[in-house]
Amino acid sequence: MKRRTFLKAGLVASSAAANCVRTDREAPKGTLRVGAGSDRYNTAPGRFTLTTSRPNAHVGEPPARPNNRFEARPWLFESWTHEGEGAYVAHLRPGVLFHDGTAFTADTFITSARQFIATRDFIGLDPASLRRVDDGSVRFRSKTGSALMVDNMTHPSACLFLPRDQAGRKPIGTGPYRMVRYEPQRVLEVERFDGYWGGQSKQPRVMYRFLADPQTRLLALRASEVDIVSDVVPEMLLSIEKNDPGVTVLRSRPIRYAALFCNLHGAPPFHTLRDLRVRRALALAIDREALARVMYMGQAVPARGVLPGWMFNLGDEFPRGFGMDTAQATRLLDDAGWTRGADGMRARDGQRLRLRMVSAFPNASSVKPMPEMLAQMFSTIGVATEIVEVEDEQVYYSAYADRGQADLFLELAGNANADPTFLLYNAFHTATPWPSYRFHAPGAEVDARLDAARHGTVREEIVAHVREAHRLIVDKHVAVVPLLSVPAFVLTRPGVAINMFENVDWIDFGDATIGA
Amino acid sequence: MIKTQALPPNPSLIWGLRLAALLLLVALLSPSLTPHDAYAINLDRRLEAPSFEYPFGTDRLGRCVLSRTVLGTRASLGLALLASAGATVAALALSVVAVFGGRSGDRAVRLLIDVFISFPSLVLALAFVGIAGPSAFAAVTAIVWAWWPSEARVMRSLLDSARHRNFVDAAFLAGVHPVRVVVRHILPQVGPALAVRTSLEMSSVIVALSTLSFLGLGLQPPHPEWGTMLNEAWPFVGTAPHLLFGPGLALIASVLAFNLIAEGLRVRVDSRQLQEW
Amino acid sequence: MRGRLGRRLLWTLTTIALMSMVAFLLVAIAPGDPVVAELRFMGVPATPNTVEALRREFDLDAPLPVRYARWIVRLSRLDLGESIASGRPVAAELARALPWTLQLAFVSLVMIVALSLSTGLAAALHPYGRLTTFLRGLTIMAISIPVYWLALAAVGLGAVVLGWSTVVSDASLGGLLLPAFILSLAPGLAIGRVVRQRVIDERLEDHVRLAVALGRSPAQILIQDVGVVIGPSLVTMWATTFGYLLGGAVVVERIFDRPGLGNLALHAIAARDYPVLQAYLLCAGVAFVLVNAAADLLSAWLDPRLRRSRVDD
Repeated sequence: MKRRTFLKAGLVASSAAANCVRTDREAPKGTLRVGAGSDRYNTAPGRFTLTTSRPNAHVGEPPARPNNRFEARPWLFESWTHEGEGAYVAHLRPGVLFHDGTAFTADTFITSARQFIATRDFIGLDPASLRRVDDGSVRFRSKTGSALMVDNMTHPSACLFLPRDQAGRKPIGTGPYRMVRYEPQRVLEVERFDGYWGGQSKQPRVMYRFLADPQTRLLALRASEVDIVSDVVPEMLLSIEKNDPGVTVLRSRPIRYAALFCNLHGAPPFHTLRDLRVRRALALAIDREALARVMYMGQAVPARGVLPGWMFNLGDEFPRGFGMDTAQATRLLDDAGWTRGADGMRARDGQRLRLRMVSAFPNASSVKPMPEMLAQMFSTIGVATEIVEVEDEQVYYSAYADRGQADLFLELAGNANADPTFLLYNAFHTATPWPSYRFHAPGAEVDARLDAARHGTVREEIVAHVREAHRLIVDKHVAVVPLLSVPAFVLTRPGVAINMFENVDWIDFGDATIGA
Repeated sequence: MIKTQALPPNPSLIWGLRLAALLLLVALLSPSLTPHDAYAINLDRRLEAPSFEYPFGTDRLGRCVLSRTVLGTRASLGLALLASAGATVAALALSVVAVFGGRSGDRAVRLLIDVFISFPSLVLALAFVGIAGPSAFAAVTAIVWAWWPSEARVMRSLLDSARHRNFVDAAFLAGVHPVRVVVRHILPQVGPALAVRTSLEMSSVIVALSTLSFLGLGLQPPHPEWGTMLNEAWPFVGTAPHLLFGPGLALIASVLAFNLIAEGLRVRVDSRQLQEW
Repeated sequence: MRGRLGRRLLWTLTTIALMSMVAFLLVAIAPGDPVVAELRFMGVPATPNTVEALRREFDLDAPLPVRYARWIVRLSRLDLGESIASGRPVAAELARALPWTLQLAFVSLVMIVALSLSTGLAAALHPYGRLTTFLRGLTIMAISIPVYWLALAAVGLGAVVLGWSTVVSDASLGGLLLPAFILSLAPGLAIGRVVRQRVIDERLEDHVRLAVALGRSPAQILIQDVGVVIGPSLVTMWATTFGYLLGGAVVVERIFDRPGLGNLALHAIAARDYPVLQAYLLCAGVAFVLVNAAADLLSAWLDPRLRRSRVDD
């Protein structure tokens, strides 16, 4: 008898519990469903990214957004002027409303900027300097006197919200969509805001489903559970056929770099690459065409640098990069004193020429099987390679990158910032705030060039400095060996059209059109 | 003192031992047993179904699944053996302290055991790996950390009841050297039950270790290990289910072997107190 | 009974207190730096200023005993700190995830009870027949198959037959059945064997033979004579599976995409989110302790003989 009541109680309790948990698979009709990756939103003040980053639900908006050349274009700022030494005057766009009807004016901008922009270290806004000029204009200063502060404000983390919502549960912004529902790790739902200054978006509702596992996202797409997959990892492409009927692959211009960062300041046994000749030899031994054929559905292109030429108007002349010239590579290694042994591998003074390659940032799966292909190419010129695969980002940094415990570091990453100096400064300046990159800093010559860029006042001047620094870093010092330039990808169901952009965070999925 | 008599036929034990011996052999000889290079990537032959050339098919990078399974025996069983041995040694050490360390020693060890045993084993192991970062070393240490309490609890009570038998007390009183007492009087009592326990522990550790690897928290790529292979097979479970066969079969065989051994030994020992599944 | 309750309570509280120490220490001695990791993820340069500020915010700069004391004080207010990865209070994250895992554990437990009783009793009725042999073989196979392999195979089969999306990520009660069944199979069958053995042994006891002689119905005998004796130990065994369920839930939640405690822990591991891991460990441990304590008391209540004996055995 006790057993029976136990069972009955159990059934009652479990059905009660089941009702507490909502089913979110049913979306109202007319909802665009987007499959995003794991929910990494942060609601802590100062690190607030709810609805702004991965995915960007366009609830809040930044002062400026990147244009086609990744230059800052007006958004919530209608225009701005850099008056010199980090002082700015900006004119706010008129007719902008927050979702609760509050007008976007100088006062609301200032309170919002204090909470959401001044807290971002990399932007460097001095909160005490925010001043109201009139209802539609403001003044502010950069803490470092930078001429590029508004360019840095094109980052999703610079999106503005009403500071009223301290708990971070329902951010109120000025964007085309307002937040309806957020279940952490499950779903984010937004609906169209009719008072939006930019007019009405096409899709009335958008639902972002957080599906942590990449293959689950892909399968959800194939099953028409989602219309778009915004977070595409390269290994998903392995499962997509050339003319796959169920999945359309959209790609942008090449923006990400796949490159080998060289350890220029390693302690033994990772000091081999201190020799420029060895670095150059490695760069010349690589068949980039072969890599491009095999990787990423053949959608990548051989790279000459780490920044694409279309960005910031950099152009295609700098740097020259490296083609494939195994004869030259062999000569360089011979000159450096590395002689081939009977097995074809090189040695010098009893030491074998053996390099450690750590694959990869962000994880090994994203670049497979490039390490093996590279190792093969290096062995043809007599260099042995030890491949260390790392799937976990923290381990990559703590065990290898931060301590310079390897010769080559394979990375697949991109510069998503409209500040032209962002990537090169942080990756190649000796005073870089990213500790693991100090092993790749070539030295004073590059530092001087990057400093000049950062302190420039006119954009063309800054870009010229960046061009030159890029050339020095790649061509002259070979601090990094460029491999491929990789596009950003978005997957859709057939018949869904969107405006593709290099940084997925700036694609407005709400403007998608769903065809037949 | 210990009478030997004709024992009834014990198929579980026999088959268990045979299977375990086979696996051990495979582990030792694995590099010579692989038909293809277990690390060789072949992008033109990805996700192929089992064929004559690739008896278990190929994985998402075109590697031979059979070769990887065979080579993986070393990692999967080796690490499990290491972890199991570690847990047993730790448990044994603490049990000895409890039994021979007087009342305070006993109390202290029992408290320690009770505190740690209150955590679910896999949860404790996960927390440890989560803190230490994923690696084979972390996984093994995590298992030792999480498995010793349950082992220690059984071992302590076995040693305790063995220690307090009349003839053991007599031996001590007679001035027999403690080590000799342990070897001649305590171990024979405890031995069989301990063997059952260790066998069960081994099978449980094999599963736990491969579970950690499956979750990406154990041996890191590209080294073949059954749990990691199943992790890589997961996305293709609907489209290329053959990927589950190789590592799955190996895992089941290993665990089965030790479960059979434990079952066979238990029939011999016929001890009611050990009825833990 | 009250004395036993009191003793058990004291013991439970002591255990929980010590467990909190273990949970705290585990995280406190961790290598690697969650602060730097988080800043790196945010794309914020890890300057000494930002690192110090974040470290202070997460209380990582004081000496160990001080941190433990602060932690305990906060714990007493049910403040488990904030998640480093999401900024949300850890207690809120746990509260969100807990119902999913409890649902799963609960349904699994029900299935374990049902499975063990049904197979055990059926086998006990024909102790040396073919059913017993079949069940014995099935049990050995079932406990030899790792839970996650079974889950993968089930999902694969389900995906092929029913389509992926109906198998994975289903929030309704129906979506619970498959994961719960997978979790309950091995322990259910294994405990079933114990049930069989106990029932067979108990059948030979005097009081059962008396009951048969008195002409009571089999069902009555089962419940009132056999059940009362073997009930307590069965309850204890069922309660012990709860620990296994908490562990197994991690894998099952990952494969079936259920946002329970297990998935939360896995996310926390990937992000090195120490506060969440700490809370998870403590939460799971405390839940297990409470379930075992409850089972202990339940079995004592069921068995008059045990009521008067001591707590430690």
